[in-house]
Amino acid sequence: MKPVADFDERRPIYLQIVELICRRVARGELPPGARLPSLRDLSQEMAVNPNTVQRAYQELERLGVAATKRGQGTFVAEIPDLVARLRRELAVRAANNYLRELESLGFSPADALRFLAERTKEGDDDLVGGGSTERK
Amino acid sequence: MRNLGLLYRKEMRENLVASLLGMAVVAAGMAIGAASLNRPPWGVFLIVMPLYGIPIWYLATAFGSIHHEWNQHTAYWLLSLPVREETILLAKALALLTRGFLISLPAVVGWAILFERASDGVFFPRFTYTYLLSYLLTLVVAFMLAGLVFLASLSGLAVIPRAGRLAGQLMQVAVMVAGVWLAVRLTGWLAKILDFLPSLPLLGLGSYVLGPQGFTLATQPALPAGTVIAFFLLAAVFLWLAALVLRFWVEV
Amino acid sequence: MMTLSVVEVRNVSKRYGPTVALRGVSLELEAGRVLGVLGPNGSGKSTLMRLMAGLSQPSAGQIRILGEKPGPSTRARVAYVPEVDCLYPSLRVEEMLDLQARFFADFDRTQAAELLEFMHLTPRAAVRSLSKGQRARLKLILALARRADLILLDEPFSGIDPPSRERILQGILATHRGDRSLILSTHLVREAEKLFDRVVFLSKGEIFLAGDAEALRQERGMSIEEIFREEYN
Repeated sequence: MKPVADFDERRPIYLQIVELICRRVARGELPPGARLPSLRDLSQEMAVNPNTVQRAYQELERLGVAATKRGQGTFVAEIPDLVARLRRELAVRAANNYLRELESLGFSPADALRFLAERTKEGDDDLVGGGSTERK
Repeated sequence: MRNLGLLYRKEMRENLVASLLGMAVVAAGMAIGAASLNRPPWGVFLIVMPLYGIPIWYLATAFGSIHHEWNQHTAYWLLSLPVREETILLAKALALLTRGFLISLPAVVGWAILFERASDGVFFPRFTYTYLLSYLLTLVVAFMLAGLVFLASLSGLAVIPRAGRLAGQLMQVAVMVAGVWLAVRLTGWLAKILDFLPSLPLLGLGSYVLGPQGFTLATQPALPAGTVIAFFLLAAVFLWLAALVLRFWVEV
Repeated sequence: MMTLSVVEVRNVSKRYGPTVALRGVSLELEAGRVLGVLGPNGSGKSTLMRLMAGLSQPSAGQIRILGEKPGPSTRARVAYVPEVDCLYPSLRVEEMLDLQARFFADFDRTQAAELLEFMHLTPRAAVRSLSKGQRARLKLILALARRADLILLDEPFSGIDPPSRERILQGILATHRGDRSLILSTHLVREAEKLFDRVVFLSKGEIFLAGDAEALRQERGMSIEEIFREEYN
């Protein structure tokens, strides 16, 4: 199996694994109650040290996204609004990134909104695929 | 014991081809020498050759068996084994002896046949004991020498990273000289103080009567017990010191 | 005795005659962690690895491996892979593995067979006939097929082509178990960047920076490799 993720090694890797899993949960690829891969499998898949994966899982637990059942593994938490919450958080983050980028280019938030409106009109098809950063 | 056996096997396996080749060379030399005895000096030269060649082979091979491990970096593997340094060196010494035995075997057998022929079949019934005993004693001396050469090589290797190659080589020579001096002194000294022990007779009973006319020796040549004990003692001391040097001072 | 350190190095120095290879080095590693010993060539990495492997004695200071002084009994529980090519050229691959299996009780022959296949090595081949990269992979199998408590890898990537490096990295990850500790020395930080829990940076025989890899990334906003390049330039 090819490594799924290219990490930005300037930031803690465990945090990037946390984000990756949150994104999978938000997209519904990992539904609540689903079992997360074992430390071993994920560490091999991502070519990182198992301790790093473990740290990521601990962080996911702290965030309430995952729960560990003794002897069975780590599972996506079964909280009713988990998916909705994550989707919202990730959307907010994406919006913030967008605004920050435009601000650095000298555009106001109003400009940013206008660009968005234009883009949506130009072609709805472009957005349907929702090209994520993970796929290449 | 188990590790000793494993290391011994590794040594033998590693040098299998060289040992067989050595045997073949000695055997060929003996055969050619025996066939051309009527054409001096080559026949005699080839037959006597192993007598000088084999001691030199022992020395060179003993040096080689240490330096080889360091030159090809296998010392890293050898020293990372869960084995005491004494075991590593003892296995090397025993393997060296086995290889020496194998290489000298064609010569020893060849000489026996030649003696037998030259003496019209009287040599062997009489001198089997003496012949075999001498052979055994050369192996004991070779064992002691192996210990000394290991000690000298390893002392040299311990000095090289600290004071350079030349100092290491000088160290090797110094240890060899000191070891030989010690061997000479100790064999003589032990022979003297242990003279109450029975000596090892070098001639078998009645073997001094040779041929139909016969001759007798006034004194039966014998090796003092102290000398024989000194050989074994020195072998053990040299190997033990070499292991000590290997454990504490030799760097890979 | 609960959380016994796998490795304890206290104020260790190593001299070769007038040359000082290590000066006052101290470090500690808990079970199951991966430590990167980083530094350019000649910074003392290999010396430190040899001392921990029990191949050489410190001139001053103390080393404890699994609570013991390095010696035959710690060597039974430590798998050490030196930087140099330490295999017997006259043996075949399977003979080298067999030797290892007989000396080390923790050697797992099934694991070794799997690794052999994974690393594309043929058991019948003579060590002499192998390429440099193949020999490096075989050397690694000798250690990774053991259920050792501590693995010491000295410069496992240097002088090896990138595909072999990738294989080696995957081999390390595939055989990793939670209770196994690993110390990896390297000057090629990029290859092993994602492996480290902790790192120590050596320069001229001294540790001048040590810490948790993720914390260092967080603090400096740089990868370990970038820190490495910054520190040594």
